[in-house]
Amino acid sequence: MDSELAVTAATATPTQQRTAPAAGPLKLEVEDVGIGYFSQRHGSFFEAVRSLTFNVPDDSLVALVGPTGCGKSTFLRSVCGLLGYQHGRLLVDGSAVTGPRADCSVVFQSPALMPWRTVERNVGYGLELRGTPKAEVRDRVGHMLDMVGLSKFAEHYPHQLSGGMQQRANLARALANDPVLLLMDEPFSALDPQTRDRLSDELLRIRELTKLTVLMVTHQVDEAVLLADQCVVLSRGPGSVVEGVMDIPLGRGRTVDETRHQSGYGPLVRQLRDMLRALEPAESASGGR
Amino acid sequence: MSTVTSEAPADRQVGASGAPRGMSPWRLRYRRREPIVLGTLCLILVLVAWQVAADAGWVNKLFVSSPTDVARAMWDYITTAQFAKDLSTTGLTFIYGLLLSLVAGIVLGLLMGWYKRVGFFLDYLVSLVYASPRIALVPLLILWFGIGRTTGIAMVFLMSVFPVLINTMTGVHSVDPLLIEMARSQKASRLQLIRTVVLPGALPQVLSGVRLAIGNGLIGVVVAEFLAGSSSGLGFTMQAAAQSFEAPQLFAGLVIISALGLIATQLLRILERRFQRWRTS
Repeated sequence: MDSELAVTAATATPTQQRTAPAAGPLKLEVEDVGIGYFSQRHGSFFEAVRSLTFNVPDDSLVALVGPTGCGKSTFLRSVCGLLGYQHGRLLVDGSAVTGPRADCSVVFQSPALMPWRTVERNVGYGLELRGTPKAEVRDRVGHMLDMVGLSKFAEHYPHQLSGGMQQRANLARALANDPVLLLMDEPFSALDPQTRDRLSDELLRIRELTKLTVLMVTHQVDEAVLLADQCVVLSRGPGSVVEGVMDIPLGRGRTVDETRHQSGYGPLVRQLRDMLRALEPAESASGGR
Repeated sequence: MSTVTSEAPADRQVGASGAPRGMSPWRLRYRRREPIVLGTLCLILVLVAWQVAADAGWVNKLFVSSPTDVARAMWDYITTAQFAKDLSTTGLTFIYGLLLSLVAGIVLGLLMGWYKRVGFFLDYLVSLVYASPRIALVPLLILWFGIGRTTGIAMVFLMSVFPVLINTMTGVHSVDPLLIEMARSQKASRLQLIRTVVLPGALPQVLSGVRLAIGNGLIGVVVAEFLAGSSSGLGFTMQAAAQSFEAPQLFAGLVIISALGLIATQLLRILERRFQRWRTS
């Protein structure tokens, strides 16, 4: 098994542009993106992301990792059009992000299901908003529920489901829109380890099935290595730049258990963890902000 | 109570008859109904004491009447044509006023809750009018609308619009921001967002606002009829009864108005259950 690491060290100058090794067309292009917003809490302008540049190639699963508060979740909100960005270029499937778009779905950290709707109607929510004919919605939702293994629970209400099942519904709702890019914000972080593994396998299987491109934010190093083809490492604090891009050459179509037993798994996790750890002192040393 | 062994949870459960060990089925049956039994007992005691006090001459019957006299007066009143007329006058005034306040309260509450600036803009005004004794506005309303139904409707509106408005606003504020985020990421338009997320999310609080509005509105309609009733209405008849020292008639009116309030609240409860089926399923 090829366990050689392809780690690109971060360059000192954030302005220098670098692109991830791309295979084929890019699903997401991020070029010198800066994000900030007026924070009611701080009562001032808050700079979350200073200059971010990386790409997500077609049919890949990219994990965005970085220390807490590095702006990775904020960045994801910008990609799905919920938050504007101040400068730079942000292209999904070749077109600039100007607001929420139908071809870009989000799986939120918590299930965000409407408690007054059945699982079926939650999953079909996006289609319903778009005025899709009822029969078509039913077909598509049925198909999605099949895919995530919730067919039996179509008529249930969210509070009747376990946390893992709610998260499956969350995933099904995102997939129902048939997105070109799936954005996931620490989707499994609230689940117990067993459920997390099961859902991770499910995600990998669905991904092979649909050839979906995924950008996933996580702060769990092992999760990033288990799932991703490529890890993008952000530096600490406001003004995060890509610290490095790390390929995870563990092969496609693997289950998380298989991955854990590969010889390359341990070193990769260690490598990534070291990279993240190295970011901590860099923060205290940088008096630049 | 039965003793409980710590490691056997099955023992903590009730037996086949539904009674814990050591408790007779009769006692259990009573225990289940204790709130109803004790509550009813209190009412009966008050009625008996009232009756005894009136019959024994401890109190002046002219002013305090007695339960039997009230029951008789109520029956006499209910069987008259005046009652039907009073009921429809009061009922319609109340319903018109309540409907107006529901529409205005929900629309304004939504606007104030959803658009921060609208909320800031109207906040002081709403608080000011809400804090003022609106009952004291009846004379002014009479000046504006004269004697009759319009004044009644205006009074009901003033009394019941605020609980609806304020609860709708808090309801909108309490909608899970994550659901709003989710809907926005799904490209929901503003109207879709309000229809599919904000309104259903705020509904429990809107309904508890309506419950308060019913109580307040009833006060409004009766007070308005006391002062501005023209020829019929429960409040108008009560006022007339008071002027001719007919205490039983007054109490009868009171009971009937309370009953109306109870009926309206029960209807609302059915509505609530209809809207919140998902909670119990």
